[in-house]
Amino acid sequence: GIYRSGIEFNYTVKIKKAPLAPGAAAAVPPAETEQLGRGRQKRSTGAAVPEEIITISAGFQQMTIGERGGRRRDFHDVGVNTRQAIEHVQESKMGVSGAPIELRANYFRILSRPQWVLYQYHVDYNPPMESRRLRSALLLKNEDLLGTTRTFDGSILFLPHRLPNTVTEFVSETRDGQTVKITLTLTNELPPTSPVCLQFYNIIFRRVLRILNMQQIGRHYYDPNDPKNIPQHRLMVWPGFSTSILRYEVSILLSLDVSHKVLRSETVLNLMYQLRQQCGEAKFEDVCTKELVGLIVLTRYNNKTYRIDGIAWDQTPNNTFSKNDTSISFKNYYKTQYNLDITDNNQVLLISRVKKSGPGGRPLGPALLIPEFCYLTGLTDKMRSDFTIMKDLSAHTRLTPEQREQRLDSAAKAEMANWGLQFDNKLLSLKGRVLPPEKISQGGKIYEYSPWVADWTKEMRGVQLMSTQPLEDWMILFIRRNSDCAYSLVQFLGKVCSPMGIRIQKPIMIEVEDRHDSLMRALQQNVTSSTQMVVCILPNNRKDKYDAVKKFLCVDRPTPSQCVVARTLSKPQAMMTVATKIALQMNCKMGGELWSVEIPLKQLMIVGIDCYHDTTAGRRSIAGLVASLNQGMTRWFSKCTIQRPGQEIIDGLKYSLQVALKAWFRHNNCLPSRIIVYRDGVGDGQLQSVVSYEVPQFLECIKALGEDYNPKLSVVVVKKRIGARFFAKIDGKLSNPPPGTVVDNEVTRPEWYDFYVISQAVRIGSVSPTHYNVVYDTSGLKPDYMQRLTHKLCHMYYNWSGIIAVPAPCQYAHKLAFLIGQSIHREPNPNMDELLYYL
Amino acid sequence: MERIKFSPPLYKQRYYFVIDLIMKSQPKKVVDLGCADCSLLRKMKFQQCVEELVGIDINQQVIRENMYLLSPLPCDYLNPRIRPLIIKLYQGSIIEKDPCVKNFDMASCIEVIEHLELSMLEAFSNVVFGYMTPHTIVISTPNADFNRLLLGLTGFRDRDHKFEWTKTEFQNWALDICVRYEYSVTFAGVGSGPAGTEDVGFCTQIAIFTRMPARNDRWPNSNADCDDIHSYKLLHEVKYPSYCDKNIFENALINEMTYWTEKIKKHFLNSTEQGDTKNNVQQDQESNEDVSWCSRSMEKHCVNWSVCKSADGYLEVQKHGDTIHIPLDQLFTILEVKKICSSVVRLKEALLEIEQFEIAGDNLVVCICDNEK
Repeated sequence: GIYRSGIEFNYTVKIKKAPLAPGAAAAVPPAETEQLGRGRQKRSTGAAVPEEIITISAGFQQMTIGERGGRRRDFHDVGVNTRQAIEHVQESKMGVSGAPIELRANYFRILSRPQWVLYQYHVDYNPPMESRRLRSALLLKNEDLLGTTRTFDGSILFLPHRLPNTVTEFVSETRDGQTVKITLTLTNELPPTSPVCLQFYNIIFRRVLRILNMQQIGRHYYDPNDPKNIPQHRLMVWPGFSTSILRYEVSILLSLDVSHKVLRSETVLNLMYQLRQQCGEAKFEDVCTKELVGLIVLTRYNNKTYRIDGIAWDQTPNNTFSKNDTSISFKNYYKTQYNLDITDNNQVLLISRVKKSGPGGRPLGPALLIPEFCYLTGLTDKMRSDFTIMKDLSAHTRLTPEQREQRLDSAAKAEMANWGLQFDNKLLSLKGRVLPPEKISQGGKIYEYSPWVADWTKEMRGVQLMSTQPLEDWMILFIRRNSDCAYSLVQFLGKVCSPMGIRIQKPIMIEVEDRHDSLMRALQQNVTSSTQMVVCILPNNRKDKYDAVKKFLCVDRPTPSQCVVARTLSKPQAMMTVATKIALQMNCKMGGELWSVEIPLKQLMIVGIDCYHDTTAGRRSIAGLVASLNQGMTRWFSKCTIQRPGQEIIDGLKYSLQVALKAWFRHNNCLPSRIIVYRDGVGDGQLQSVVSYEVPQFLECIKALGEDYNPKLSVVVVKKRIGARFFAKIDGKLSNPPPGTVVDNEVTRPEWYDFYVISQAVRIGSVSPTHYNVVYDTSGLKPDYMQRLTHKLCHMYYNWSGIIAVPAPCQYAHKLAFLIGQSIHREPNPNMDELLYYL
Repeated sequence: MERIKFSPPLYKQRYYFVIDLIMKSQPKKVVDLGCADCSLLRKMKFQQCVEELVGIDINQQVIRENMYLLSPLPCDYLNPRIRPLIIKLYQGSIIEKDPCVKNFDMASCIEVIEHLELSMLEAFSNVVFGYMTPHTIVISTPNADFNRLLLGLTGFRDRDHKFEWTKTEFQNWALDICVRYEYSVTFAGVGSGPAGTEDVGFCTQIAIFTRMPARNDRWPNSNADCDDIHSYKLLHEVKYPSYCDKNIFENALINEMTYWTEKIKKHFLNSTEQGDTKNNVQQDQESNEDVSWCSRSMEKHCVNWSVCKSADGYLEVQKHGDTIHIPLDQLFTILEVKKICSSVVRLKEALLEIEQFEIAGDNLVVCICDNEK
């Protein structure tokens, strides 16, 4: 609502949250690596190792380090081949409509690369050895045979050369004198284009970044030597890059994007002191948990990131833990291990659950961390909602297309030749298309928007809305200090409503005291079943008050409501704009419609899904599902499910889809013949689970409605946070491409039916395209239709009189899940299901 | 007889032994001879006293594979060291001379000598004790006497060992070194056998050599003729961020000062904009302002003193018209400032050098005119 976003709604700065490093953390506290011996024999100088081999070997070595966790997470969803099952895009997945446009993308062609073939061997031990470390040590004792260039994960060995025999056997000896027979069997030969080989290119590239003294945090590399400081907030931004080398539509490309890491130059302990001072001892535990849980911290003594999962209120550095069967206090441990002194012996410890399992597959207990040694990364939700912080940050993180190009160039030019890798020195050129602007119809009138602005706020002025709900039985609640604001709001609403066609009566004005219970009591006493709208003018943006109001009016007494922070109403010169936006929003929340675009497909139900991952309340996830109810995509049904512990999110979605189909039936007297699901909120590496679990569940759910009900289904995975950036050369300058730009070649993936659309326009920084991946499709819709429909849907979000970056149902689903996850924590009353109450 | 199990593992005990020695003697320049996978260096780098750390190994492969583990961590940039640290890794033979490791405060040579042929040992002694001449050298090697307690062991403990010495052999060698190169030696070890086997000694025997104080006078510029012969190959060099770096120091100081001056400015701007003090107090609480304030008038001086309370303590500032004077000694009470600057004098000197700050007497002057208006 206005509360969170106010005038500046849709103003977002995307700062990526640090993902947990793959295979982060170890024991309590983090253990070190074991090692066997020390001291080396002087090698005969004759066996000089060629430089090239050394570099490859270095890459191999790193790969082993990366694989400590036993499994490597695939963040690029490599190997999920969905296109092969979609018949009508076998030949081409490209659209046709729109004006062609020359684009540049943040990809670089690979001019030359090492042409190694890798030999994959299966390694067998007799007697079987359980410890991976031992397996590795035994195998690598035979360096003469294997050579120094190799990588081994415990059972699979990769070698850059072929052993003389397909099956090789030899005997190795443990330190205890036990003899072990080791058998190597050649299982595969991997050509230079195989994913494993590509993985090595990635390793090489990352290695070069490391040589350039870049620091790895999470998945990306950052430059610590050129920090951008924002001292007033104690923030620091490290510029960096995200890189990946993957097989794209026609060739292997390096994808390179600018990335920023926000770090805080204070420790968790410092933050705890501040919190204690602000909120006092009594509320400290509560406030502290809220603020810290979910944050990613860096530790001072190793290169690992941890997510804070909780706080151990009963543990201090004086507590002990057992290590190698002896008990040692945290204080002593850090002193002896890292020579680190703990200054505050009363600090409570942080808990981080570690996913990785310990030696022998035993799960490890949670890691306990010392707040004094933990540095904060990223932003808290509180900071994210702080406009000044975000503004100061964006000064450093929002780059114009030209600035971006300069940064990218500098990284791509990094000296790679020595490594057998060489990249083109220019951004990749490719062709896109710009879809024509849509016609917006509103209250019998049809207008177009300016293609470059992608906004029709001006055009809307003085035009009646598509359909309106009268404001007859409604109320405004406010505290005495804000009574001026309240009356001025009423006055301005009166002015703006009639041109829109909204009938408006005087509201009931209710003055409440500035106490939490006073507001709630007033709501209980005054809101009846006939109340059409409740407006609350809140004195500040404290979340608890907002939450309580929303919870009451969404769950206990379902009524559309509008919260406004008093400050928003304090500037008289902005009142017309503010009142207009509030009036529009209230109209939507009560079931009115604002505008529509032409949707040619009949009997089509569009579904949007997004998830909210609660960082505090026991890490429950919330899935919002929004489904269209009519032809014009102007009315939406919504259902929200809160994931119960141990339950898959899809179980809730299945139920939601079922009730949505029933709602459609109520409105249309039939079931839709086409269903298109836009699935947002799929994380990197989760594509496989959408394809193999969610899609079958959707199908099952549809089947449950009747044997002969056989609608066409498309499932589109929507991704906003991607590394791709497109630029257009306009008047000799690198600029953002115009809204409606579609890219469906070169940088798409051959195994997917995917495309990019830039629907929105941005005024500052580089625009971020949205990636659409059609993972299931029996609709037979031509790719061109799919692209255009997708872009059309980006026009239908009623909280913004312009085009947004994702289809409206995704944004609605996002808003819904966010409201439930942040404020309500419960399933809303079903009476609200057909209203856009979550705007 | 039961198998002997050391806890913590023996290799760790050896490392702790060296680290202990560093903690006690606080050397600035330390070299690890035969650093292998750099794991001892990785422990040494946490010692704040060390300013130069060098590792040498004959095997460049093993150094290349591990050298990045010695790079600074992200947190080393967030929390720079007070003293500098530079780490250098060389590929080289410890029986050859190179001036880059001459006259260090400490050298460690852990489980290395037994990998040398006995014939090379003489050259080793000559290089280490006669040329490198570190102040302290710690050398460890297996104790052959102990081998009979290691169940199932036949021959040496490692196939690559060229010899394993008994206690007496090791001590004789060490004492001979002392005589020839003017060092004194003490013996120690790690890893004790079960009760009743004390006479065997430790599993790993350790000798700590210390250069005789008088030695320098009698060995003037020893072997200076070799100083231009570089036989080691530099593989890796990394400099840790520290406040000794002018850029880092100034940036840290600017950040810290800006943080506090902005905070103070914001407070005064807020209090002048919103005359209603009662309202103001409430606002402050609600906006979760992390500095709480109280003001009192100093009648005699007719100036406003404000006390700014923070997690680090109290800051007393003085208001003159639209400027605020923050006494430097007040700023110096902030822990972070104390860490960046060693003294108030240094703080003043540094602030005078940075253009954006204005200093009047012993005060930092902040203008509270609203820049945005």
